[in-house]
Amino acid sequence: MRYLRFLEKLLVPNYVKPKQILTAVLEFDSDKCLGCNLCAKICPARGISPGERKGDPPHVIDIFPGIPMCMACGDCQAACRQGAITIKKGYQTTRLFKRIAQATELTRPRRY
Amino acid sequence: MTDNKESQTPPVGRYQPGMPWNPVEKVIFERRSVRAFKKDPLPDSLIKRVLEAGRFAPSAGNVQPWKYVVINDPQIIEQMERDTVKHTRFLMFFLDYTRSLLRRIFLAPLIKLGIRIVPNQLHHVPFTLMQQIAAGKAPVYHGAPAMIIVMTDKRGVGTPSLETGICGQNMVLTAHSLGLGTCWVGMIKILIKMRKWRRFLRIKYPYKVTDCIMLGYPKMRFDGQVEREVQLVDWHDPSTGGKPKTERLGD
Repeated sequence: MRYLRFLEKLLVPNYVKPKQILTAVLEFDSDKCLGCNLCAKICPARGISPGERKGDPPHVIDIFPGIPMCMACGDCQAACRQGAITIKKGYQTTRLFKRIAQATELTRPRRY
Repeated sequence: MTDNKESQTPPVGRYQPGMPWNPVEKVIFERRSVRAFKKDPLPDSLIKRVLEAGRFAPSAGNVQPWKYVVINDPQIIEQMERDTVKHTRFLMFFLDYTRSLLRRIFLAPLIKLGIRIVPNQLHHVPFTLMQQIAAGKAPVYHGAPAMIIVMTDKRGVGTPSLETGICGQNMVLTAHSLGLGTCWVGMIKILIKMRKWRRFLRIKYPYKVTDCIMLGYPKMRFDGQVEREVQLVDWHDPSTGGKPKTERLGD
């Protein structure tokens, strides 16, 4: 695994630029979603907002344009009894705070 | 053995590849930080049971470089909440370069230099959390009925903060195994910048405080399995020669 390059060590990502803060991407399955909004209540970042109209699945709100407020903690996924939430992409920042020792794939605990 | 693997909980103390979780592993893999608590107070005996687990945590030289403070009073925690929010608003007034275009142009370079110098407190995640706290959109102590602070004795052997963490995690795992919910809260670092709270909590040499543990009955069942990033491991063994291979743990 590659450690940080010189510029990466030097520079801090800009917290309003989507290309430098790659927050997590969630997918809500509208077929499975019951609209109970348990995920919205559980999200520690208060980042999930219920759907606009009744029957719409929830969505993740943006802290800044293009930056969803999600760091893939998995609480919503664990809470949803219908299994309607998938984490499509984990949380990654760039430059100084880049993840080095974790891959981007997310997996359940494996029973070795 | 012809047991049905899926329904047996193996006893602690033995290992078979692929076997289901034993009770200790189950607590570890299903632990989730709880941020919604019932208002019900905790009996003293339950808090003490959780603290006992910390008493037996390992530490270099068994010096046990920690001191426990228990806040079992919702009114004090409410006051802490109010003061933390107030002080966070004050700090973010100076630090939040994202608030306006003028700030983004003129303040950002200075703040980013500051972030480079103290990256731990100003990483994107705590920065965003502080923005949300300052805006009143995120609670700090999550309305928990009790708080445990494990203070670090700076005179400890080796790395005393590490040992405070180990002690704290012993308490967290025990609490979850007893049906409680916990949440580590690092934002107490902001509260203790205020002298009145340092006095109240008696934080002075040789002690320092970095985090606290919120404790209470969870409002609903939060614990369960989730996904997490695959961990990349530098794996050295006789087959790899000098250079380690990169093992993808969890894949």
